[in-house]
Amino acid sequence: MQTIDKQILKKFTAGEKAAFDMIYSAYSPGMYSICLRYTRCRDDAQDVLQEAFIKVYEKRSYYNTEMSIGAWIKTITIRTALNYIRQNYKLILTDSEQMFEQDATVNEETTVSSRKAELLKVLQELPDGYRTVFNLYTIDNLTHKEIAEHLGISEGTSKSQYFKAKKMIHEKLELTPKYNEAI
Amino acid sequence: MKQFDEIEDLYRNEFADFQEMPPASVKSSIDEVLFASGKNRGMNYWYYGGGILMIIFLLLLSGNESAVSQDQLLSQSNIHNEIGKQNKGEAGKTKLNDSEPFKILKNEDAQFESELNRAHKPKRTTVNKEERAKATIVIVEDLENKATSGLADVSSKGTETAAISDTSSTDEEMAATEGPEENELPILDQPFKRTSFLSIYGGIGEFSSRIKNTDTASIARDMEMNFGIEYGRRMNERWSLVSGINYTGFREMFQRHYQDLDTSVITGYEQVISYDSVNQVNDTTYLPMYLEFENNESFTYRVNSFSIPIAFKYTLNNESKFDYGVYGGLVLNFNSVSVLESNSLAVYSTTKTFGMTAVLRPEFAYHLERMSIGAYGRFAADLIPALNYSPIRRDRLSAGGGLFLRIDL
Repeated sequence: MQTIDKQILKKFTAGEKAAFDMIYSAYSPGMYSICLRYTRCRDDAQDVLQEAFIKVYEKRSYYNTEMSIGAWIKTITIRTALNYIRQNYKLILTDSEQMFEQDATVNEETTVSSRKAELLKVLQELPDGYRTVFNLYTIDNLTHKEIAEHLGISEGTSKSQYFKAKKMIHEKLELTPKYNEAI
Repeated sequence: MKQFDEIEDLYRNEFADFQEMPPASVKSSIDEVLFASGKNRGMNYWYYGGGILMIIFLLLLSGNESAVSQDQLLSQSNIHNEIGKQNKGEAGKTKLNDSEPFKILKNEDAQFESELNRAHKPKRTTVNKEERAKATIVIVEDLENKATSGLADVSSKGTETAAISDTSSTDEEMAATEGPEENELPILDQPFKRTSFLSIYGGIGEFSSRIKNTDTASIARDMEMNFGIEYGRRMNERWSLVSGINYTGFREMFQRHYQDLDTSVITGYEQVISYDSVNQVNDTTYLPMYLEFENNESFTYRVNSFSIPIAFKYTLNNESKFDYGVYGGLVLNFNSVSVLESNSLAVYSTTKTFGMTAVLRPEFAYHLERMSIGAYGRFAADLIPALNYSPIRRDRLSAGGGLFLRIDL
């Protein structure tokens, strides 16, 4: 990964395209993986990534160079993904079981070539609410309280979504031999 | 439940360092949005500005003529009604229909209007009694002529007007016909003719706006250069609608302190352990820790702001030699904020912003015939931060002042 030093950050905040290009090439793979985790398919992930990096550039004046640029971009990417889910997936977060039993439309283009890809596929197959809470808690290390604040739900709802997500993942993974081998 | 926990660990470990290169099309789309269409984005400000100017222009022009003629008609209607009252009172037979004077006067020529306006001095203006009598004579004689052509049934007008139009009327006679002794024209209402004025202001500029640098939370005073031109339309004796275009510019330098790393001096090593999917130690690496030191940096911001005020001015006092009043309204700001290199002042980047400011401006003017010179104070507070740009913003109410030259059109 390309090293982003202070000079590059300074040029980036000054709006220099070359500096932005360097930041994009350094952080876009990591951010794309986040987008893949939060969305249902690659097309959606690419839309979120594009929107996130446009925001990164447009909001560059808000970036404090004392902070880690990676953490700042990650925050923007996750927020963009959550907004995208709300707007495009009609995400409704309640305790009702039915709301989350809906089938997510999964793009079949995701190729199952490795365990990681298999896990990603399972994640993308989850209902939007389950997937969002699972991502935020397990991989992005937010607490249930923080998730509740971000999504405008109760802490209890967040916990129940998380438990149901794990249960569903488990059920799906049990059917896959690779997963059984891993554990 | 244990299996569920394994799922947690599995995902955490698999996706902690998960990276995948996005397609190149994403980057080209971003570039297209951010860099190719930059000019089009900038154009939006011109569209906004143009739209606002158009609204102001229409607002200033709309209904002027009809409003003026209605004012005058109302005034003229009073005159006719007065004649009607006299006709009724003294001849005892003739009665004017209230609606008729409007019909008659609607098509009267401009000469009559100008004579009427000349005869009517502004309120509180001292009028010599002889002049007043003459003015009254001229008006009433003209009214007779006008009324004669439209009101065939007003037959006794000559008798009543003769009493008023007698040039040899004494003060006592005037008092008898007009009521209390005052240096005003008691019968006639004061017609207000809408006039316009142009103000050119600036010169000494405004001062002591406080700009907060949010990075360092420091507040600096700046000297803003401010000038502009405004067009005002007097809606009545007290109120005027004012709009125009204004330029504000200033340059400010900020010091910034932060911790930096000297990568040439290693002070120690930090042990970083990574784990595999089953929580076994996978790898141990040692990262160097560099010397930290305080660094100072200076930034210079240059702000150019064009703004469009939409305001009302209330004139508190309008004497022959001076007037004073209060101007209040909104100012729409279109700003260009540039970050400059402190030494060379080369422009690093420029950001365009939009803001809205509430302004209160007490004014005092001294009249020199059609021109007036004056001074104003200025208090401004941002409703939408005028410098809606993270590093610098107007922190609180700003105060200032300037000089202006006003020309009555």
